[in-house]
Amino acid sequence: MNESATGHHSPNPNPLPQREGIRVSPGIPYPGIPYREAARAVNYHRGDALVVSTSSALREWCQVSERRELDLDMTDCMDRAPAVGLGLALAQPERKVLALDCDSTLRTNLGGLATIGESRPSNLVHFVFDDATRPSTGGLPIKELDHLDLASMAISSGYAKAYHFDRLEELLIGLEDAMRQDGPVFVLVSVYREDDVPAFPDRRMAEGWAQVREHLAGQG
Amino acid sequence: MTTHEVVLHPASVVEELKKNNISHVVWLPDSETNFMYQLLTGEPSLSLVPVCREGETMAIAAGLWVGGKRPIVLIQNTGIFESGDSIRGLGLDVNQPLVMLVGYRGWSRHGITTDSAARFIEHILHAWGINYYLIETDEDADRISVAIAESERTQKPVAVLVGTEFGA
Repeated sequence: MNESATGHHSPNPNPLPQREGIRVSPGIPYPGIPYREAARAVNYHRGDALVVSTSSALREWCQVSERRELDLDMTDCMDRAPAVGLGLALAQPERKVLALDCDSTLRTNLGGLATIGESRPSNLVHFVFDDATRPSTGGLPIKELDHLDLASMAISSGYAKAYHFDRLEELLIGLEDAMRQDGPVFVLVSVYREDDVPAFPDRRMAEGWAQVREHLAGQG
Repeated sequence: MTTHEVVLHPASVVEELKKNNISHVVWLPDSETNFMYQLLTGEPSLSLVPVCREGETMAIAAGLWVGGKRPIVLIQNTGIFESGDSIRGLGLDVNQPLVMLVGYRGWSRHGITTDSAARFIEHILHAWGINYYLIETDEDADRISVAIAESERTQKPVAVLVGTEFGA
């Protein structure tokens, strides 16, 4: 685990592996965490947090979540999960809000880091799953974007703390600390996929959102 | 001869927001909307949420709305063009009752403008089926309340085009 906080961030001593030339096949160990196991780890620590998830993170999350009445699915406008999470966090300051984002979706809206850093919601945890198998581009490497240090960008944008996990044991233990912090907290998780890409949930986006809204309204 | 001052004061806009219990103003600070800044920051019932790009405003407003708050969006018409996908996916498709206060850059009641931001904005709103109201003076400000009521009744975004320079 690499951890950094505002004013104390140093270059990552254990950066993500260079992807060029790396081939990932089922059953072959890769530095990182199986995607499904990473989703299970988040589910283990979520408590009654609201969860906004998008793209491939949503595909995995909807397989493991046990509180779907607290889940906002983003099967559309997939680069906007952090922004939706920011709105939820500001509306529900007493409750944790988790935004489950992906490397590819964050890259399409990097300015969103600065927007969150400006509002500094203390209850927001922004996960980014950096998927070595690159499902969003059908496995095609985007070489020019491989060198972004997203955790450093989050810190310099105003996030209170950033973590990087690439081992499952460290993720399971480290999330306990990450979830306790005053945010916004940025959690980068290096993942790879062992199996086929799971499907999006059957629930329509508008239906799911209405369900969450009703649930929250019912709690006063 | 009686003359009328044709001007819209920011206080008139803020009064409409307070009257409707608006909780958050999600906005992109720019030259067209900075007139509101002093008043908005001084109004304890309103929270300002600044963004880096206009397409974020509808998404943040969506999260606020699901969480039980009453946000509005304040951007320039150029930002509407940038926000197309968010308006479609996070406004219309999720049935968000969102009022968008939109600075009408290039507006001219003479009907002659070289600014494409003004020439295209109403066509774009028509294309999405988004209703809109034009406000130019303090007397028009109550159309903000009309827009808010309409957005809640229809569960759809409604635009308020601000076609004027603001008075101090």
